[in-house]
Amino acid sequence: MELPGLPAEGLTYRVAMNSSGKAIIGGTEGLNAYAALVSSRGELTPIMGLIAPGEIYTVAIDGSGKGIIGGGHADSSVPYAALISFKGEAKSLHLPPGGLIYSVTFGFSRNGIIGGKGPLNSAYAAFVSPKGVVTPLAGLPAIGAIFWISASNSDNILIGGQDNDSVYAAFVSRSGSVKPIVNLPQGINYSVAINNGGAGIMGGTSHSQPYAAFVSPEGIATGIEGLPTTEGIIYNVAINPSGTGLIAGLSASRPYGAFVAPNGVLTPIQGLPLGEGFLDGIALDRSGYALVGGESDGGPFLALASPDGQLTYLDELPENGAINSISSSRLHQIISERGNSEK
Amino acid sequence: MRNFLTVLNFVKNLSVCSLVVIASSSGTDLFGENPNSIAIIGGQGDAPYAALVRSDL
Repeated sequence: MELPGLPAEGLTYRVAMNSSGKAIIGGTEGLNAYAALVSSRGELTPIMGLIAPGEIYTVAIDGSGKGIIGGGHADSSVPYAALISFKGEAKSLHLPPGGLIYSVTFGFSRNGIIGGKGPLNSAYAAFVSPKGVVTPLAGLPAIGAIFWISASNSDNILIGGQDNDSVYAAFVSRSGSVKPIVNLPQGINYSVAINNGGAGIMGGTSHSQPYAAFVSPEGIATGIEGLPTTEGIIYNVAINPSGTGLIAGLSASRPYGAFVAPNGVLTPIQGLPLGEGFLDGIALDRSGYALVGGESDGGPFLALASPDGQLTYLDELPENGAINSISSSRLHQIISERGNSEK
Repeated sequence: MRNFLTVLNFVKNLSVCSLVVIASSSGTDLFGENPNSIAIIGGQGDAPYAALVRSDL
């Protein structure tokens, strides 16, 4: 059962929640872009004046409840991004004439960061000031894309994507300088994450198999070993303050996920659905617990994963469909509060 | 009105937490927020899908 007031047609690509429980969602309403702010009580405030036709692929919300969204119209290669006021008013950003926006986030205090594809299949990323001034970053791949941007509370920024036919990742400094991670393999980076200590993780595919690597604060990439050797993709990664990672995707056309200890030891998530599908939505908590979700045999699933890889499912989701995105900044509260109350 | 879709109990290290996937809830604090809304999920059912995940403590 969806939140009351969602569109009758379309899908939700991405969700984000801040520490106050305020959230933003983005996706489609029929052929048009759709986005809405969501109060912690579940009340929707639809955002008007978005790109039409078009789609919202990515959303973020800061601590004050202001948002940023990105997407575009894929058929005509028109990028779109907008700042969202806490009242739900959109301010469209001035973007290049071609491309798409795949990822947005907030970093460097109140500045936004957007990334995707620019004109002529170039990679594109830019800072966005609180007033909506867009400052493109230089030094990105001439042929490629930025698929994911991660910023920590301490303003470490890691971007990931593709450079020609190779995995691409780079740190971005406050001044906008781009420092690529070197010696990455053939493939694509679909997701990156970085914690307050500057430790990063990235995931995608290389030679048609799942690929993931840790990135040290010094910029050294260390491939994570023990991943499935079947065809597969890592769609989403996360890393918590202690350096524990979580990778999620598919292997042999089935959902796949694993916790990764800071020393690289894998703890595969056990008990995932066996049907054809994927694991995509993940929210990793500082406690080591995570919410994970995806699709199996055309139906959605959602579960709480404990650090030892065991799953406890939440049921009564929609009969058909998928969980594409999960966001939580509060999971630790119920774990720590409950744990303290029982001491 | 609280419209619970499901209730989950998990046990780990003697702590028991309950999570519920909700459509909406009137439970709020002094600031009009629901402090028990801990996550949001999104995807697709027969139509666009999104729900809050709330602790039921």
